[in-house]
Amino acid sequence: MASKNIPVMRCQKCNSYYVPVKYSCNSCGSRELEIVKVDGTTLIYSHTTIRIPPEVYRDQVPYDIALVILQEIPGLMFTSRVMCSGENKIEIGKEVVFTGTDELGYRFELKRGMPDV
Amino acid sequence: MRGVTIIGIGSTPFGVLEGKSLKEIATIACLDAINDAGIDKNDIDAFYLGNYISGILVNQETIAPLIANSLGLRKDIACTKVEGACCSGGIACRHGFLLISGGFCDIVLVAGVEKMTSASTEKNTAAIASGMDWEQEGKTGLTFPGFFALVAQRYMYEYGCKMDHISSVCVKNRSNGVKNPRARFRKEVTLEDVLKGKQIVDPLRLHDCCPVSDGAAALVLCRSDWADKFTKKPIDILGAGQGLGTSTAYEMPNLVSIGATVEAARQAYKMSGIKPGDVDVVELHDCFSIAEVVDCEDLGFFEKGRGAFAAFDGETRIGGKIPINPSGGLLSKGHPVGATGAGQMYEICKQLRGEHENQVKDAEIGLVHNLGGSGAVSTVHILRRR
Repeated sequence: MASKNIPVMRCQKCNSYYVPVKYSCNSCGSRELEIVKVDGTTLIYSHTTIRIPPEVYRDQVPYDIALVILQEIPGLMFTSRVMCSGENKIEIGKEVVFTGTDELGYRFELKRGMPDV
Repeated sequence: MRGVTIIGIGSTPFGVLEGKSLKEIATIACLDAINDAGIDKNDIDAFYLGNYISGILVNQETIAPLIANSLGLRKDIACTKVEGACCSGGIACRHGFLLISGGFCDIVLVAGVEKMTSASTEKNTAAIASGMDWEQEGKTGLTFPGFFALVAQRYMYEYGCKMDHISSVCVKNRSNGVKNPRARFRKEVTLEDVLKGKQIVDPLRLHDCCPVSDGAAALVLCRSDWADKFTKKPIDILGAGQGLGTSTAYEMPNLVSIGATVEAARQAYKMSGIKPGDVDVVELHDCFSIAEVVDCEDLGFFEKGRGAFAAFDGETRIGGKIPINPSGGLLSKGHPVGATGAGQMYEICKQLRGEHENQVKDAEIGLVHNLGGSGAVSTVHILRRR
């Protein structure tokens, strides 16, 4: 199961992709940017566990944050909360699945099922 | 372009300066620099002050005029605060350099100050986090330590090293800090201490992170052709660069290299005609152990992937291939955010004058690297004694 319906911003003039919100296209300068939903394979690029948070997130520690890449659109990366469950540990290269966005931004979870090779 | 020379330096100790206000420590550092230069305060044509978060931490803004009035500077001069998070002090120095090299001023006072330890940890954490892109990335709960943890994790993955190698930076810098009276921490740590330390933000532990501090440092910059009138130990600024990086981790084209540093270094090397191999001593921005590793590569002292192994092998100690952070760095001195860049300049000037408590023998050329935000801004200065 690949990730589906990840909201990103696309420049209507030159087709560059960005993590929302972007107010102008850094490639062509256009302000005609739209939110589109994209699908693809999402992988952990790097990760950390936050144990000393900003005060507003004090009741959430420890929590995992990862940079997630979308293989189909090179250069597009998401700073995200990632949910891990049980024995399945977060590691660079592991596949994750998009589960939605909320006030904290993007959320992914480690892909369940067959162990990673 | 006119030459610019450092003719006076001043610094408070970095650490917990109990009972001393932001105004007091900045005034002391500036007075020390003015007295060291042997100028009259009325000789000063402009004042740049680096500071990050005095508004949030001690409820005091408009601090460049505040400190200028505390010193009794002339009323016909521009007094300006500059802010670039942890790079604020470096930016202040570079602005002073630009005014003199451009011919607008003859003598400029530059300084950096931060007062942190009187505020609670929560207030500090929240204030420091304001340097991130909150609309985009801060909201996820990522912190500055978290940013450098992401860099460390990826760095180990790409180059096959372990925290043993990266954390050897802490052992070296803490050892250097023992001799520095301006350092907050003056006790050695072993690699075992570091690797068993409290987990802060995986894979970084307690000693991998620099402490908050109070502190102020100041420099008097002067047109080079006047410098001999004031000092027997002039330090020329041969090159000054400032680069722009990204404001978020996810926009970085390469997580194991800070683009702002690479660009600032490129400008400073080009302006000075100096190459990395010519440099005798370096003070660079080791806010975290991994930061020193990435910085020393981005500044051209080691190939990509070699920095952690070089520290582990002792190549960055005094007596090694290139001594890095003989002051003890931010890891020992502490990080009074807005003061750090000016404090680094102070340490290198002491080295080039041959007056440092942890002296690199015969140091003639020094490099200073300051970094702010999550890789957002960096300055590099290259200095040489006459």
